[in-house]
Amino acid sequence: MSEQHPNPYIGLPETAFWKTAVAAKNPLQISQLWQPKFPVARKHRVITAGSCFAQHFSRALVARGYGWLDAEPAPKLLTEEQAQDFNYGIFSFRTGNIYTARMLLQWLSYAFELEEPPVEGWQNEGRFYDPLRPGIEPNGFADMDDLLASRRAVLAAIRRAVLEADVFVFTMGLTECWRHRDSGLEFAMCPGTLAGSFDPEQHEFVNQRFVGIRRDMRAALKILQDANPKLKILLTVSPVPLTATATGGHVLTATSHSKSVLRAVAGELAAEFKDVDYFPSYEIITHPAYRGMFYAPNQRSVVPQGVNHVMESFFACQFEAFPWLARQAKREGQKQAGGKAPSASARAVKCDEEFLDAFG
Amino acid sequence: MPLAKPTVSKKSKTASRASSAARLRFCVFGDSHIACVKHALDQGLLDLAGVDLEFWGAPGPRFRDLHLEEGRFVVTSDGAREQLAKINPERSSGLGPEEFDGFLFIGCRLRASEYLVPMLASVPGAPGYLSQAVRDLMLPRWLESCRWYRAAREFAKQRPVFFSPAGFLNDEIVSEAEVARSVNTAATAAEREALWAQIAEAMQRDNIQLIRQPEETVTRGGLTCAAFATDLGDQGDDSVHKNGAYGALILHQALAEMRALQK
Repeated sequence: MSEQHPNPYIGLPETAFWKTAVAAKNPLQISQLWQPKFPVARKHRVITAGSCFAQHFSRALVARGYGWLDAEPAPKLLTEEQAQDFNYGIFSFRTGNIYTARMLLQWLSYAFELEEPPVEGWQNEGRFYDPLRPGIEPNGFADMDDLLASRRAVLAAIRRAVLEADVFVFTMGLTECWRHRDSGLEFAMCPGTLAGSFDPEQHEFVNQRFVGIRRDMRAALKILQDANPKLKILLTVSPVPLTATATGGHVLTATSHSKSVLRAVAGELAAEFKDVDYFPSYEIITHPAYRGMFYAPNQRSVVPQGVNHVMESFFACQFEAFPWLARQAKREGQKQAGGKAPSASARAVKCDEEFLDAFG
Repeated sequence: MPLAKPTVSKKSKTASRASSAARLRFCVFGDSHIACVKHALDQGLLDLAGVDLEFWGAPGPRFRDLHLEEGRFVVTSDGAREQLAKINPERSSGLGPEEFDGFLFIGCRLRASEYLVPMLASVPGAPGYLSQAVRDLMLPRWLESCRWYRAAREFAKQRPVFFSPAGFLNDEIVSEAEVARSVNTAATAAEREALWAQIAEAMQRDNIQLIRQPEETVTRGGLTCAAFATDLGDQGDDSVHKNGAYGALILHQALAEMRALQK
């Protein structure tokens, strides 16, 4: 008589079963979607880049007193609106959105001098636009010298950010892109949309495939970890659908394809590298279990409640995996509430001393 | 600890006894930065021949309690009033432009380090490079965001106004990490002069005369020489305020320009 073995599903936690982890729950109570590999603590310097959804990470970190590193801060004299117009404070450096793996690889290769950046600018009505970030200045640059000097500044900021950071949050956005046929240079946007002019002889559409994206991401990860071996990478996939597709297919299926490929690459990289993790913000927003509740009526924009739920989930999973983070956050929160800006009060004292001495 | 106050020099006393017929009534207005001119006066460093010099202002947070109302500066707190009673007891309730022949606004929250330092660091190839479009936004914003610059513009409609922004931070006090992070220590006198000229031109449009930070007080691209830093106290941690020697240079520059205007 053969001995009976319990099957491998017996004894698994409730998160392993759809019925208990999803079906039986209010969507907002679905929890433990992520088992983080590494802690993100307040003392850590976090840098963010990628698709537009990445900027929510920086805002949430700053709002909670975490150490988001802005390697290219706005000059203090700009108003908040002006700084935003010029894309300061959106990501850790002024690259604008980095939608694809190839664009990330290009930026890192230029920053760490593995490749020469292109000396190309798009001209519109006397203004110059950087093909790597055409929307970075609302009206482009004054001339090519201005464009290239500003580019050198952003490359320096990338270097500084990578060298000084503890965690790099990168949000993967798109597979579809436009490249120069000869040089292979990938543009941030299709030439002729925001600036430049489209030339079918020079510019080609590419819908990046799983293998190519994984190769580019691996190369990018190598540059990052060669530069800063202690750097941890946290990947996310943007839940924001494509604005338009150039594949000839329907934008909805193109979105599905694109995001699925990116999600698969992110999962593969997280499985392959111990210092790379994947945080499922994409699933929290897009999964049918959430019934589309986090999308605006256009079914594309993510509403603030969605962003907030994503970030709450991020911190909840972190605190669950690393309880000391929760204790630390509580302590720090109390300290901040009772604290006072020391520099301002010290400055007031100094001013009084000067006056007392002169007129007292 | 405050230093013992020196007596006013013979030269200053003599100046104050000169004939009042053609005397210039001149007011130094500002926040704690007016102290450097007062130090200069107390140390006998000022040539005040033909000048009746007065001070008006308040230090630190109490400077916020001075307001421009209907073309006059008024005081809105007891704390500021108490300060003014020490500085200028006869005018502790307010100050109008018609009360003097000219005004020197000094400090007044307009800080050279906030505009010139990032501009001087913005050189092609440097991490601090700012695009032309960003740089173009900064000068108007620097001036317009300063409440006291706007007030100076109102006074300048009636009397000559000279404006001396707070000088660069003091060398040897400001940390080397801060210097490395923000100051282009290779910036040249010509680069500074180009920026001062732009500021002067912008101020001139508001009928205000800029008083530049004297070149001899500048070191390491965008810092004030330690020899011109305040020597008040023994902590050596005041990176902002200046001494009497600095105050004398500023006031003399303002008075020279005032006299040139009168001619």
